[in-house]
Amino acid sequence: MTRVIDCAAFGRLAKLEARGEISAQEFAALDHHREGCERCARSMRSTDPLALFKGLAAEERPAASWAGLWEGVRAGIRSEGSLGLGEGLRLVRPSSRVAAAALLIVGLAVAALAVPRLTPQAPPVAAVPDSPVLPALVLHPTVESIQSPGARVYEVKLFGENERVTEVVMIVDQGIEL
Amino acid sequence: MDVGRRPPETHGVAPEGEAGTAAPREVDDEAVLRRAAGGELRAFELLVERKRARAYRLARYIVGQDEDAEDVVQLAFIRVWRMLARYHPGSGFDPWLGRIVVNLAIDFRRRNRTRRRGLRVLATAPRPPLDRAQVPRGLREDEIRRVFDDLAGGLPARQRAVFALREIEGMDTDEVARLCGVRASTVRNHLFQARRALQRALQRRYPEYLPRGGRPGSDVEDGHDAGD
Repeated sequence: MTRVIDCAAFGRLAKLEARGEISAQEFAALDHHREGCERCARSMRSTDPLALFKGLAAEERPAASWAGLWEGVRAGIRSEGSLGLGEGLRLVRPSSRVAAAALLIVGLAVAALAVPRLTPQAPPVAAVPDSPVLPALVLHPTVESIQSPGARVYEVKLFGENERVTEVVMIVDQGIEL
Repeated sequence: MDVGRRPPETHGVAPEGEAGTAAPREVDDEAVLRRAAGGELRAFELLVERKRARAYRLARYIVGQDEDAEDVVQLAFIRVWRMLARYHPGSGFDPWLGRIVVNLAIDFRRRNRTRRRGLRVLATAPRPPLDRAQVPRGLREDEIRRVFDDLAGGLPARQRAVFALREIEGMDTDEVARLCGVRASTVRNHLFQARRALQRALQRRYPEYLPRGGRPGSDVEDGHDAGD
């Protein structure tokens, strides 16, 4: 039950309300009085900082901003399926279509970069039957000698005791299946 | 009316002229509604043209974004078309439409709350203080709109709706209660919460908009003379 207050009490409560110092029950009394007393309502409005927003009611949109509204409504009416927020279906505006197209293009570009580049099929390395060492290694292999355009050859010398040198040759080629 | 049916589009509205032109006010809403309920899409277009501004305003208060408000209005009119058969002539089309718009807008805002949280982080970034002396008495509408969106962005949807309907649109408590589908006491409670949150936020973020004295309520009179 909302408490009934007079204009004097309203004035005191309005002051406290503007400072955020009244309870919900006191506000209910204040608001109830305000609705029935135009003078008190006007008095409160004249000092209420939130009355600043009253001007929003007079805001008018330019006529051009309605372009597309009726087309959207008509499209919704014509569709046999259910339209509505409940179904989570958002209306599609032209800007949304452009955004979707841009997103698709970016997605395709990212996918193209993410897919590993195809390595040209390397010709098979000639098999060397019954040989413990590949001949290419013995002959200081080059890219041409192993006949694989994607191959790289690294040569490393390891110096050990007694001036012993171990030569390591690495052939890196993703096209070679071992 | 069956939901989803395809009504005829272009007959019976010739006396009202083209829907793209100004609507003749002598054709009242009820007459247009009857024709729209009969399946005349052109009559419904006329109705949309007449009611879209208020519908947009209500939606905009609640969802806080132009494009979102446009979506809500569009959905609201689609829903109105489908529910025209349930409308009782003479019961007031504006409150009926308002109820649909407000409910859709509240749903919309709740569903997008996560997104809004992220945006609010940006909205609460420090801003340069305005020089109170340079703030004109009649603030530009877009500045008021920006301040409102900023401050009301943190309010729950229903509090935001109640504040806008009561304090901006000037509806009375019972009207708002009917529109939001809640009791009058609930409306006052929402209004109390909303006002308190907005007052605090205004004091903290936009002190230059406070009344003289720098504190809300510092120049509120102790009530007028009741005998006046």
